[in-house]
Amino acid sequence: MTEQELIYRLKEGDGIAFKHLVETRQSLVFNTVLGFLQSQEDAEDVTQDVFIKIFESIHQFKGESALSTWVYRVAVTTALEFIRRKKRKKRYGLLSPLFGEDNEPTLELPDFHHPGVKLDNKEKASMLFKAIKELPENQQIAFILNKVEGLSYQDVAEIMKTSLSAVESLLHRAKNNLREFLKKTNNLNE
Amino acid sequence: MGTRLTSEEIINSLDGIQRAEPSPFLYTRVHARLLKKQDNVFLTAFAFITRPAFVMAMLMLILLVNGYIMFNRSTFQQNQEEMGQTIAAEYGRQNTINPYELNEAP
Repeated sequence: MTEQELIYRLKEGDGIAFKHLVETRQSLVFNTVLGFLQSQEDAEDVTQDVFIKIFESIHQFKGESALSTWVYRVAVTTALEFIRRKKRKKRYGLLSPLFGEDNEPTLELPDFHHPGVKLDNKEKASMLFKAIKELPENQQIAFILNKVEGLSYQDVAEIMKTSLSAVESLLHRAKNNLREFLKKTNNLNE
Repeated sequence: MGTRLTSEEIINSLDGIQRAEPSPFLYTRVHARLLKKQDNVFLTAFAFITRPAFVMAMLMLILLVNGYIMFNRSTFQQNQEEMGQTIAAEYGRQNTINPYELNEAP
């Protein structure tokens, strides 16, 4: 199935075409979402949300970019929306003791170990993922798409609908911020 | 005693990262959720009418309709009063008319 044919059949609501899309793009979506959420369980749920969103809004896809570029955009947007919702729930959770609800201690989330990272690098990667969470959103997006997904600067620019130089600048600032955060929070040899 | 890490080593720790895979049968789960969503038409409709934008639009419509009715009522009342005065004036004049004259052919 060519991409044009796939898009046409998706817009017609073809179930077989949608199955093909899920099977060929599930790794792309899952890895992107996992990079942001840093939780396999959450990434599984949000991956499903992404494909449901794609199914429901495929008619909005104008074909100005490649289908995969659009799928990446939906994955990034959905992952960030999930993170914002979670932060809002956390903020509300701080108020619940005022209303006499059960005062259960909140669980500290364990460090994230990406399943695709080599054993030698697991601890370092875990420290890095913690630092990535502290980056501003745009820098997070650029860094995850480039470093975790392995996309080129050009691909990242297309997904973020920005220029190549803007992506270079975002990545440069992201690395500087990561270095600062890592120095502050870890006993590094620098 | 281990060597201390550098920030560069940490930033480069994702080099050579392999792709993670989602749990099997992802399509089956997505498909099941889509079917469930389609069955919940009532819930979908409810979800739509409780959306803040829809509620605000309905409130604005009610206020506009109320405002229109109130404006028209005050205009109507004014007309009613004028009509009443006209009738009263007419009635006052007619009191001087001989009732037998009313039955005469024009």
